[in-house]
Amino acid sequence: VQESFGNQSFRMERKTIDLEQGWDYMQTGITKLKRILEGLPEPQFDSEQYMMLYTTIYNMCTQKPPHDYSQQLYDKYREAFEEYINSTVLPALKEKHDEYMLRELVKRWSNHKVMVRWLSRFFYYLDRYFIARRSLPPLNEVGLTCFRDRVYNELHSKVKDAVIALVDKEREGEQIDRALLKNVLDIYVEIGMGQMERYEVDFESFMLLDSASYYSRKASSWIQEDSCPDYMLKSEECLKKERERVAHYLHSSSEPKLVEKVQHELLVVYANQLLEKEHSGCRALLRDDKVDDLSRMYRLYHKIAKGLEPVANIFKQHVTAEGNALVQQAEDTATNQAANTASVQEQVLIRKVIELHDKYMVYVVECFQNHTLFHKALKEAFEIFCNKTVAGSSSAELLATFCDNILKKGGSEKLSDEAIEDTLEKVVKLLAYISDKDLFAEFYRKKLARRLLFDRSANDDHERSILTKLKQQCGGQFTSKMEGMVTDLTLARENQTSFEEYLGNNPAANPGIDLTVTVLTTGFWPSYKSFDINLPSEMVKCVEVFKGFYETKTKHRKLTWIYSLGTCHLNGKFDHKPIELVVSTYQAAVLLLFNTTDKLSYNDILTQLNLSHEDLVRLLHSLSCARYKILVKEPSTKTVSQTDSFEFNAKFTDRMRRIKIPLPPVDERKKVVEDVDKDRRYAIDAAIVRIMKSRKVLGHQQLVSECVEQLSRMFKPDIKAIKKRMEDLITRDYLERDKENANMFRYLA
Amino acid sequence: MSTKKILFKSSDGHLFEADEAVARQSTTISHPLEDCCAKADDEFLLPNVSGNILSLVIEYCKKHADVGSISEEDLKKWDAEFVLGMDQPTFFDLIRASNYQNIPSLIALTCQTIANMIADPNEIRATFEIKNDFTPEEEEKGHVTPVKSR
Repeated sequence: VQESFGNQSFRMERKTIDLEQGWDYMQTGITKLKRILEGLPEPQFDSEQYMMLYTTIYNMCTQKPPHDYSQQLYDKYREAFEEYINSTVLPALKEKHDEYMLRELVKRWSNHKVMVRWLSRFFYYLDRYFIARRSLPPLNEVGLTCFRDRVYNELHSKVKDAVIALVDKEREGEQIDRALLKNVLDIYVEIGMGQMERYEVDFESFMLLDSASYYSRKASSWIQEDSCPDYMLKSEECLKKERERVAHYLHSSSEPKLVEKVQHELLVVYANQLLEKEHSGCRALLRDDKVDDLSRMYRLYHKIAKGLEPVANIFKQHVTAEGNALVQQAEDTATNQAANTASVQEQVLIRKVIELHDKYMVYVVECFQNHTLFHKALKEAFEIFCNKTVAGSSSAELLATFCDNILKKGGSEKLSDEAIEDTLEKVVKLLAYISDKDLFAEFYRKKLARRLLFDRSANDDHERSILTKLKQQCGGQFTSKMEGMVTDLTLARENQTSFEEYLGNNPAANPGIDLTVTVLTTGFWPSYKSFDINLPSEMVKCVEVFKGFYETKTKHRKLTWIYSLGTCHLNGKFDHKPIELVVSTYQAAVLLLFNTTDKLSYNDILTQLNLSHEDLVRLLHSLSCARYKILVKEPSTKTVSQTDSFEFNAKFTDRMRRIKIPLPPVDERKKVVEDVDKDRRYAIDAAIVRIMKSRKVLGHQQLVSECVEQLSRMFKPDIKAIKKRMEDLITRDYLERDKENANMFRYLA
Repeated sequence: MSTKKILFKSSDGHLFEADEAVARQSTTISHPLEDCCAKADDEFLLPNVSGNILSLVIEYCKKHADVGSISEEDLKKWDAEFVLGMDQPTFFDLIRASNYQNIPSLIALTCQTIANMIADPNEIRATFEIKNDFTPEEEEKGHVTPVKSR
């Protein structure tokens, strides 16, 4: 509210104060203030002095023109500061150096702020209307700008040098006055008046350069003298100290920049030399299980862009080497020893691989904080050596055999239920690394069939448990057949009960022999070679009876008998004592021939049973040249030849009352590999057709790579095989080559 | 809340007393209070304000210090009554005092009151004794837009 209404006569007359007079009065106040700031004996302002000074300014600004002195007073306000700075403040600063200069600066700055505060109170009226009307900077800003332009601009470089010198002194272990530095650096911040520019340009940039060169010097000598763990300890300590430095006196915004510089000089520049140090670098630490040092390495490199990649790489190489060593060990032992112990070695290998996985998973989780880079490194390492062959067996087969050993009765592993569950869990995890998963599935299925059909499964719960785990990891399709097999067995038991009931109700149908039949659903079970044989009449009757029963339950189903899986219990009436013989159906067929004749030649048997030479030799060998000689062979050579003849060995005896006469197992490996190869051909075909159907036209490279990707869940397809299938599909009119570009393929609907 | 009492001395030597909360509504008082210039029993000299005006100011500030005890509506009523019936010279002294002592709410109240008074140019002239220096043509064209009262 400007006081110039018309020609009112005011109740209160004020005497006009003229500028010189008014200013003289203000000057007394300013001088008093200066004396107080200089520490001279001067009493504080009392309220009357305060009010008078304020009132003087107020009156001089509200007087009628030409005695409205706002502009002049505004200028004189600034001049007051300038005068004080030039006469007293600057000289006092210029005569001092280093730490003394810093102290003086802090004092002078503090004084200046006090002076600004007090004078702006006295001159307050100007702040209320004058500055806004003329768009001028407020009093506070005027005051600070004076200091900035006259003191700060003169000295900031010198000050910066002094500060940095003290910082380096502290780095060398000397005690410094941290509060002083904080106060000095606060000036840089405050003088920016809301912007960090002064701090950043006049101080921080230099400090960062100095810090970088300081640590560069240190690093170059430490990297020569220190072991990797010691160097890392020092680096960690330095980073900690620098962070403390920021907390104590640098501005917080300096922290990331400073840390980045220190990290760069200590850890990035010398990364390679550090990690690859011969006796103490990353490789050595892994070798010597130095978990703490490795954790430190992770902590340090974690914050550096791409810092962990070399570490993960070395980790991967190390795990791969350890894995390869285990594989090599197993391979060596296998070639040096006999067949049985070799398979034990293979089981040992799986155990060791599991242990290796457990060990390094702990590293990934604890030392390397579950970082994806290390999970990936572990995975890739395992994928390398887990796909190697040992003594002719693929890893898929080894793993399946390992499971079989755990799940079958009397297996090589004697473990508690919990331990078994745990092991099965780990086995399934290992499967993830094996590229030929379909091969594993086939081997597993074959062995599962054996366990189920010959009642060799130790524990139903474990069987189901592993199938659940496999399903979780590999999907429902992977385990659907296996689950079908397990279900078949349950149904078979029910079926057997019905069969026995049926026999009870139809005594005429009874074959006179105890018969147990297990009906298998063809699709679920592995395919079995079963050669035809002329069955003895007793067995023929059994087959007919069961067929009759089965037709009462279901029509339209064809039963195919797999004699190779059958078991017979025969009562051998030997001279000394009767012994029960547990043999295969084929072996029983051979032995039953001797019920009617005492002696038979090879050819007799051959004709009567209608077998191939290969099969017959195997059978006769098991009965006459192996452990239990039920038949006497003439001549008693070690192998069966076509000119031999055989006789029932009435004199045979054994201390046991029941003996099992095994047939040497057929090598299932070859068949499994063949079956899997066949399935793969179909799978590749299906994948190619699926891809081409959706893409219509595709280039050769892309088709191949998409094919590989789609199939990768189950196996790693051979590129040649894919090409072959593509050609095959072309001849079968599923695809055609583009007329112009032989590398492009087109889908034919 | 401290119940420190502040003493005021007007230009003509009258002494007044008020609670700190009352006094702090004026920055002219609150500033020196903050800067610790006031000792106990110190008197605040207000050389630009006479006794009768100062008592009005203090009366106003007392009413406005007790924010909790009175509703906004009642306070507005009180404000209206406060300025009503004040003679012009007193009123203008009050404006000046409120500016000098920098009491924002009182400045606002007094300025608003004036704005309300200014409704019509002839009224302005009559109120403020200003000569009409417009020609008839200018008056017709309407150089002055009447200020609407708020």
